[in-house]
Amino acid sequence: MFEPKIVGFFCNWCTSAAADLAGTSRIQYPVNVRPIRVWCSGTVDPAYIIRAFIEGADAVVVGGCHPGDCHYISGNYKARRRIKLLKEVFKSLGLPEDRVYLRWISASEGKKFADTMHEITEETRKKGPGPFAGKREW
Amino acid sequence: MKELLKGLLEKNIVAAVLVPAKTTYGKVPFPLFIKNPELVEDADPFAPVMPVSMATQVSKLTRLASPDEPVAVVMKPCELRALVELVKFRQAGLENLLIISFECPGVFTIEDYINVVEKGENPIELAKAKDGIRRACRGCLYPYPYAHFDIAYSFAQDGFYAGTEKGRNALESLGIEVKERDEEAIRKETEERRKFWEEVRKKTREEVYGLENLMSFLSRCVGCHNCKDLCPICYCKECFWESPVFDYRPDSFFDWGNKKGGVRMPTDIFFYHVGRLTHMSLSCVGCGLCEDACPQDIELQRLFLHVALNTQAAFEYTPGLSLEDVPPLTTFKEEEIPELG
Ligand code: SF4
Ligand code: SF4
Ligand code: FES
Repeated sequence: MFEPKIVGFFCNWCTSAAADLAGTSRIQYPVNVRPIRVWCSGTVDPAYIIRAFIEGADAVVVGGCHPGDCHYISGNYKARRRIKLLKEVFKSLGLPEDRVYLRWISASEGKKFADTMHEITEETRKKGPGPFAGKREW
Repeated sequence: MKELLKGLLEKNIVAAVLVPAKTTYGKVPFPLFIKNPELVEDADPFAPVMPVSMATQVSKLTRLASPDEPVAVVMKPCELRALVELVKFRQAGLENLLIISFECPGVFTIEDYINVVEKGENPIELAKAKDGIRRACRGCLYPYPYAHFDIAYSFAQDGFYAGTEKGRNALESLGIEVKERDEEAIRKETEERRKFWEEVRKKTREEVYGLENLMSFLSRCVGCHNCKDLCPICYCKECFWESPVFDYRPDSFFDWGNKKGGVRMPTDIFFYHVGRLTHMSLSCVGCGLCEDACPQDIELQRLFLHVALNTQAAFEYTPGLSLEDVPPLTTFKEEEIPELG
């Protein structure tokens, strides 16, 4: 069966902490998610998202602090614009913009973290393999 | 135009002029920074060819500091729009510049320009008749100076009009008639070119839609990155897409080999082009220098401008028109983009 690979870029101050909280609270989340800790959602240049797809990701999720709560004040607002921009580029080129997710998950939302990862994993499972699966050119 | 430039220098209205001019060694005019009024003889301000963007040259002139004395610069409309973007990104300044632009008939590729000249034909007349000019120019969305110019020339009116008081004063003090700009003529000309672009765009939209199509469109790409080197918007000293963070270790190749059987080299054609669109498309003015620079003759301008117009529309941003318009990635609103939460 197709097991989706999902790359997560999670902010150190919120979504990464939420992942830890899910763990310590023994809330299960799918092993399909490969978390990468970043200092802020605002550090995630679209380059890293594109690269994740090239390297075989079937979906990419960026997790940041809720609007207004960014540790660096406005990183998440900038992230939101960058993701919107990336999605527009993808849309224009018929690339799977629906495999790019942006989610706000605070440090206290362990349950929301697990639920979100379930949701993204299931959606991706239905969609099937990502754009570069089996491709030898990029 | 030459009289104007000469007059500006002789009357000390400006201390220097930056204008396309004859070079000592070749047939293609390049920007020349002129101090000696006699050199204005070599100027070829309307030469319908654009080997480099004047915007980039103005950046070289003004990035570290504003010139102490005024400089007149002759620029095509797309060069001026690129300059406006560079100013927003603090890569150039407008202080002490007298900007002279013109209603642009379009330019030839370097190769076509040389051919025309060698045949003894008049390139400007051919350009005005749209005979052989670049596809990018035939579909130019703003073939006239939009804003931030001091003086503009119109072929149709065979005369100058002013964009600012400074420009008007300069013209008047040289005894040059200041005409009114013919908005109706501009509207008509622009409409025609936009129609041409819409046709090009329709075709392009399908041709680059979907990974398979896009990769076919780019299949000849050798990864030289010339397209970004000539792009007036790409000002970074070190291009992100060339940074060592994106280099691979040998195990990556073996991993791909194990998973996919093999891997096309050079890699990262998609990575570079699609990634770069997330960096420059909001400021893309469609000048077509990317395409001119491509040794593989990939029709990049229509790919890039097509995507760019979508990203620009998404942020309700049009680059190059006004210094007041803030580049979308340099700002944000707290309440926006509800679809992303
Ligand atoms: S793109 Fe427009 S402004 Fe630039 S050279 Fe061509 S016609 Fe002139
Ligand atoms: S100039 Fe042409 S060949 Fe070189 S990187 Fe750009 S598209 Fe590829
Ligand atoms: S610190 Fe969490 S999104 Fe900026």
